[in-house]
Amino acid sequence: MAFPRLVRAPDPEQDTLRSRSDDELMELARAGLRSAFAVLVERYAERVVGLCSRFVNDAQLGQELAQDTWVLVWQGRGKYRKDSGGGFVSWLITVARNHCRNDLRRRKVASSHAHELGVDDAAPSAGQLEALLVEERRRRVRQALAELPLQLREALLLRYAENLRYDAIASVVGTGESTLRSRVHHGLKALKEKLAEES
Amino acid sequence: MTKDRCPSPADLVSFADADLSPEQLQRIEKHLELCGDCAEQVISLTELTCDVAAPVPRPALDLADHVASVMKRLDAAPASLRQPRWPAWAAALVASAAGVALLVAATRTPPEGQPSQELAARGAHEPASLSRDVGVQLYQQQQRALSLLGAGSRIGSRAALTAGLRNLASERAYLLLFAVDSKQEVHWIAPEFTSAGSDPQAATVAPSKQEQLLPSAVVFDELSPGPLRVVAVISHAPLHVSDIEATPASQLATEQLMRRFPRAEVRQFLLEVAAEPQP
Repeated sequence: MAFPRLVRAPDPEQDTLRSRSDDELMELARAGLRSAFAVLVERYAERVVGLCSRFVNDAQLGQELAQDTWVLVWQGRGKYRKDSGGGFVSWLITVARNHCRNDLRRRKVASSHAHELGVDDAAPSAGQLEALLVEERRRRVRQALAELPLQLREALLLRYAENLRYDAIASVVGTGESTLRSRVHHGLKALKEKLAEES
Repeated sequence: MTKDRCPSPADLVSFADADLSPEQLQRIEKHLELCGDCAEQVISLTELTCDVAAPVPRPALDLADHVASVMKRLDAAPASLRQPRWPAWAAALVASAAGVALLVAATRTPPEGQPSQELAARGAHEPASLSRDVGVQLYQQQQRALSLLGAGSRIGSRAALTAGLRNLASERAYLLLFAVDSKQEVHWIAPEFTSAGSDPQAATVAPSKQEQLLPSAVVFDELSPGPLRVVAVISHAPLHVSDIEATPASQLATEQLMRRFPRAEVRQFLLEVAAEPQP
């Protein structure tokens, strides 16, 4: 019954790896160096979790999808080309975006299950009240965003939440820049209309 | 530029987006100084785009845990990617080519109203805190439901098993959870152990007042009918699968494990595996 004990290969110092560029880390990851990949995960974990959470409007699910994204990136690391345009971040966002879209299609659910801020029963201070009002407004925006067609929603998220330029979004989505500008315009208009209807 | 030559809504979006040439930006900027309506629209658009960019409220990411979880999953088969929360259970149950089907890599809470009794036969030599603070409960996953497994519960040989964990202490604990069937074969529940070439560390039981399910449920391959002992070894420091795999099956009795791991707590759950009807 005894299995052979695993002999773990020593990893290079994490600090050395942290000074490496994304492309260098991906090269090392392609060669099978897990510690290099771990540095990439560490470097972009917050961003991927944020992106996925916004896409599905659900913090917990977003975190799970972010983990999936990294598994997909690892599994597809052989396909990464540093000169493919947009660099590693663009590729990472593309993988995350595709995975979130697939997940949304599967579940066909876009309603909010987001972790909302807890509201204490105690009388809030003026600052807390302002923060609550802002958060309530943002909750309504997130809800309206979740109800937009997927193409409009992702255009808005990639432009404003990820702060990508249109050429970078085009690389992620695979659509022309003029189409993306149009989607952003229509998305904002639709968002305003939804919010106006609600209020 | 005067009010009767207001920029189009699309131009205002582009202005708020800073997606115009410097000349166009300057022209609209001058117009906004004269036109309160357009200025208001730009302010409203800017506020809206800031709200779109605002993060979904969430607890602070435990970066170390997140990275560790990702790294742990790298060798998982593509089929074990997180699936839609419940509907994919059935499909995942079938996919056990490696002998173990890994299911739903998500932290879930048990169904409401589900009792959470302890079934453990507790050891006598363990530190009091583990005994007092760490709870382990076995569940069987059937379609969308979790059913509690009590002493003597009968399960099929293809049952999907998982466990709920609670750790009321302020420090992490570690769990090895495995089953020993009537032929003395060892089957792992936690940590995930799907490759003989690996030696996974014990599953982490993070401090939590709420019961948390293991990130995966398992379907055993070739589970022999008859008595099934599910053994939990809970420790302050992480043990490894090899700590058990290197032990002869004849020495996996609770008392022997308690002697071998005097600082750990050893608990045992006794189940019964029903014989499958012959086709």
